[in-house]
Amino acid sequence: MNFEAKRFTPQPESQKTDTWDLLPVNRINNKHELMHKPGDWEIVDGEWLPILSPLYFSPSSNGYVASEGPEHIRAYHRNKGCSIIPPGSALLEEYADYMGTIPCYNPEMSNSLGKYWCSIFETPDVVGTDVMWNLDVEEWNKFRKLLVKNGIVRLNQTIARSVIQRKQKALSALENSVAGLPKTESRTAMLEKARTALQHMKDSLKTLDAPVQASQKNRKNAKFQVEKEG
Amino acid sequence: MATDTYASLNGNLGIAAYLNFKFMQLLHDIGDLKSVCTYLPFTPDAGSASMKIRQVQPVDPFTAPGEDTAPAITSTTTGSATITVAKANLYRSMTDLALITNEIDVEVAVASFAKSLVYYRSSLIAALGAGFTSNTAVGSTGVALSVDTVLAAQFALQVANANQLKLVMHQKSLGDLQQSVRSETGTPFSWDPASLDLIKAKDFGTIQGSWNGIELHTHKSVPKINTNADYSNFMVGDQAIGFTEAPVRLLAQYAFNPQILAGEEAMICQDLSTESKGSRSWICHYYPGVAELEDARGIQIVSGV
Repeated sequence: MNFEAKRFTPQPESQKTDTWDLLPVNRINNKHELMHKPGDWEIVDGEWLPILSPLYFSPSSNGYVASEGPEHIRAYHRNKGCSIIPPGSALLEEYADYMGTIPCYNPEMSNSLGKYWCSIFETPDVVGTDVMWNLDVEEWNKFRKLLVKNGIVRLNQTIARSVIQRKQKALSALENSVAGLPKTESRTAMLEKARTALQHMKDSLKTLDAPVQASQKNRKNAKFQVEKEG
Repeated sequence: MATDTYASLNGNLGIAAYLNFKFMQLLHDIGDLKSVCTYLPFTPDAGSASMKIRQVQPVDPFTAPGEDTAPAITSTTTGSATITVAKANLYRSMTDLALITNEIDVEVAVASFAKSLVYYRSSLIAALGAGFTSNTAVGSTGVALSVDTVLAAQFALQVANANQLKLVMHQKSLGDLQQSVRSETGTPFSWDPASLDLIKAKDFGTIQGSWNGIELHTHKSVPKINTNADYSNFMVGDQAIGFTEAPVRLLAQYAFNPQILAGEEAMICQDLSTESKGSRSWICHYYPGVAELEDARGIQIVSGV
């Protein structure tokens, strides 16, 4: 028998449980990083900036297998001409960890819990289940400028001319569609904004790299078929 | 005047509300986007979770080398796409007490497997829009979907020779498009709402009608992009996206107490009940795979949230 005397002190029963705030979302998205498709550009303050697209790592989709890692699906998109922006790359400098997660729940699906993937430049404000997304525009544009500066995404005159051509067509279609409508301040401002952006694109063409001369074989020795001789 | 009223008796002799035994479904997206895909049956015992789709270019130029001149040989242009299936699950568990008191019904839980499966495969398909590269995306960030944008997408796919066009968009974008069509003056393109026959023929759910020969589909899982400012809608022709499901009938012989749900060869439901805890559990396994078959047959359409 142990004769050592001990005293117990009753403690209040603890009702505290760990809780944390969750972001309400209508779709718990998959892990993804950003990539750039060749023709997606916009002009911001006179500078060409890439418009970025998500590259999802979703099992069952485009051959992604979690155990094999992201390289297969990155290679798939690289082969299509996309520029991949892998988090952790030294070329991203202070933005190396540009993707983050926010604990979230889906109120429409049994309050299922998960992580919402988004960039570090986005900060949502929530009241109830209403979410308002804030974008740190300055940092976002700095990030995109860095991508161009460090050669992660490439731009040259030919790509820029292709973009300008498409935007010109879109602007023409827009002008035609509103031609018969009354001129309102908002409509005039929208058209003016589009025209100004297009003009900035055209003005900045000369600052971009011209296409290099294509290598062409001497026709005499060329081993390609012709549809018609002479 | 009566002294025994509903209010006076309700406390001891009545209840606040009695239970109607019918389970009504809360709002959910019932759409199935598999109809915008090309279904490719998965061979389950071929030794791989990846299915390679072989593609050939049937059209090559004829040559006219001239009389008494042999032509050069024309090689076949080939391509391939790969669809890999991966496991997806839904796991439900409820205590015996919840079942005994009919707070939840087993049939409700099991029926939800089929609906959730449809939602899941549609969400896989809906996320593919951002990956189309060959045709440059149309639409502008923050700008509502309009007739001009849809026409631009249609023209791009027409140039690419894609046909049987289908537009997949978020419900918000559909509303924007309808508003844009409404404000068009003198448009020759009519809006055909989904008829009952069309809905029945197209697996009911996502099809919202057609406009200018384009089938219109909606799904809530169309993802947000561009810092959550836009929806990544897309338009595809036939054979743009491939879809498959690994059949699970082989598992039935190995799985403990399995149930392959009627009408769904691709889903297996297993009983994982823990009798010692007094709870019932069911897990549903599903093995889908989606992939771009040909990038040039699709185009991303960006529209404001």
